[in-house]
Amino acid sequence: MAVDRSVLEKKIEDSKKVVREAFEKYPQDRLAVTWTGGKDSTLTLWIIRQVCQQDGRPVPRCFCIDEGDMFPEIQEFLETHKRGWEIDLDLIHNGDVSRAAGGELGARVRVTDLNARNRAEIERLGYEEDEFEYEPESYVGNHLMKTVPMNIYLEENRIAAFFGGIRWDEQEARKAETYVSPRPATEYSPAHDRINPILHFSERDIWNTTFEFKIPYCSLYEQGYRSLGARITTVKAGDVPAWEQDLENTMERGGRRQDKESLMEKMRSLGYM
Amino acid sequence: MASEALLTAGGHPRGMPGVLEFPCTAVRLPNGNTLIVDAGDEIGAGSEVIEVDARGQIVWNYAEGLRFAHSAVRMQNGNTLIADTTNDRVIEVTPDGQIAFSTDDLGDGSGRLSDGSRLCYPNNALELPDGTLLITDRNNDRCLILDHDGQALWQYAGGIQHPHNAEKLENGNILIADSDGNRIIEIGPQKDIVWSYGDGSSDMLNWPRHARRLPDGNTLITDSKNARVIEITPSGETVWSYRVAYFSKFYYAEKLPNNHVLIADQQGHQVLEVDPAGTTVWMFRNYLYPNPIYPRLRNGSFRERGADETETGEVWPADWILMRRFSEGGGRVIWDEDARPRPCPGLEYDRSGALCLQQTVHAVPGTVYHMAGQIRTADLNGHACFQMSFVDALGAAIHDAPDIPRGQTFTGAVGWTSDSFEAVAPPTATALEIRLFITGQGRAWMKGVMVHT
Repeated sequence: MAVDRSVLEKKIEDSKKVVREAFEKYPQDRLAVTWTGGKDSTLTLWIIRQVCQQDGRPVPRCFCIDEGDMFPEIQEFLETHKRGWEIDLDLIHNGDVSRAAGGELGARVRVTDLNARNRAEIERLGYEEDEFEYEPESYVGNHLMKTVPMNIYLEENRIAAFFGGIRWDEQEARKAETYVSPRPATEYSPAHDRINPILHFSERDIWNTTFEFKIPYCSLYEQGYRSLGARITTVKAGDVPAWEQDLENTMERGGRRQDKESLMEKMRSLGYM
Repeated sequence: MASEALLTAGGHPRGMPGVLEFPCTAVRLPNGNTLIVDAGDEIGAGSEVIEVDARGQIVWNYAEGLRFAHSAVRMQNGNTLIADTTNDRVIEVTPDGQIAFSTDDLGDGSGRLSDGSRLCYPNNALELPDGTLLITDRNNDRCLILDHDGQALWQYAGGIQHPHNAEKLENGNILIADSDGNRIIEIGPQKDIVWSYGDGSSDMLNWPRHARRLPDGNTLITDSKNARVIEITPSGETVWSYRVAYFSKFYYAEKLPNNHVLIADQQGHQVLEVDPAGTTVWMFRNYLYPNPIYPRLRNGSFRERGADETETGEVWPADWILMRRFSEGGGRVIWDEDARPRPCPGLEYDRSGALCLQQTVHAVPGTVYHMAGQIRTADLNGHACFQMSFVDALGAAIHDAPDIPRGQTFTGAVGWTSDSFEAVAPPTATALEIRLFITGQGRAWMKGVMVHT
């Protein structure tokens, strides 16, 4: 089936409108872009770069959350394209937790070994045990390894808004999302807006756009991974490249461990995208 | 004697006599007083019958041994006839509180009626002019007329499902609220259906629990899950309806000689008398929310057990209650003593009602509440889940059961599984009931529960 380039161009233009509105609204140094190395955030960043080149402005700083279990292929992808695109990429990581775990996935971490912020975050959850597993997919682990470093990053860098690559068709919890999604301040995170320029792209659109406009993508997709997360939880959906799989009739995140998915809605509100 | 575990945060013993927790029938007596049946609170304490005067003074009550009583009427001889539902019995008590008759004594103390059956979850009992009793025997899916010797003189099953109330009409027919069938039916002498309202769909009637034929031939119906009371003509035209601003499953309604309607508002924990315009002209409410409301979840790690055992010998986790209101008399708290890092509580249940372990915390409208924990199930032919049920300032649940924010549903035998979900507190929320919920037959346990903003 031939891809209609003009349809994709229209979708890109709509995204660019959202990006431009954000540039109008927020000062340059208060903006950021989240870039995971996955196909969605890479496309988002590519669109933002296009706008910046067209409008003569610098690309906002980018950040990537290292939850402690990154695929080397993703790390390599980010390294390569950050240089190629001249991107200022902050890799953020809850170092206190990984240090307390001795860098070992699955290790037991004593709450008392953590810094004040991490202890306060655990207290906030109402987690009452003395230890937890250093595993990004557990509730406490996910909160500490993803939500907390992001909130600290937003706070320390006074980020008023950041761009993200979520889409409406990813899953049920996304359907209510809007192009600009305000997040009120909590005791643990500053007020900020999430800007979601590619909501209207389907999974199929992402691949069509990626190929049509020769946007880079991580080699893991070629190997059959359809959706990328931490190594421990990301499972190959099949043996054919992601774009050749039955996108329309199967769950994109089927490849991720089930109990992670049931945490999605909750995570989004706490701060994890 | 009220134990530590059973005191509310305000220091009131649970089930204080005279406090109306959950109204079922409410009838206006010829002397102008109102006779109200209180089914009791979430753990089953406090079921009683109270008679209040127009100024809200309680002039009579009976509470002895009642478990989730649903109806009471004053008899010709001055006694009070009570459907003591979870005790599966109907009793008559004298004004000075003596039991003058009990279905438990029939069949030489076996409780068996002449047809060999026993009452099962009777929701309503009325005295007929000839002194016999019309009983709506809900979980036997039947209505029957019983005499004081235990003779079942008449029975109607005929496909009714969990009827709650029935009445005998002037024309001799029987009007039945076929609740799960979403219809009201009038049964003639040949046990034929001579009139009905409701086509089984929930749009017309959704779980109607009471119908009263009016002198002009209209019928007043409490359309419980459609949160309204309606009056319809014989041809099915709605000529009056009443609802409140919150979601309430009205239980019972009767039209008074002054054309006002007396309504038992279960969710609002009150009895209302409204005029035709829907204005409240009289109300009885003295509800104290019987559960402690904590600033945040306590004992989600289940380190502590309740200080005292309950009358059944079960031990509940400290700060949690067993929410038995909809359990239809079944179920109990169990413990998984082998769980890690420590033993954790669960529920064992065996029927189609609902049973919960519950704790109430403050809720602020607009705030997002997150619940997380782990669930395990065994032999569960039904389902279990976490729930967060918001209540308003009246203590009324804001969401109807199917709409209560919940996590994943678990069934069968599922090993320890993490689950979490979130819900935004609605604009009228003041508190949040955190639950492990089970329905059906089997067991479910929880551990590591967290609720936070």
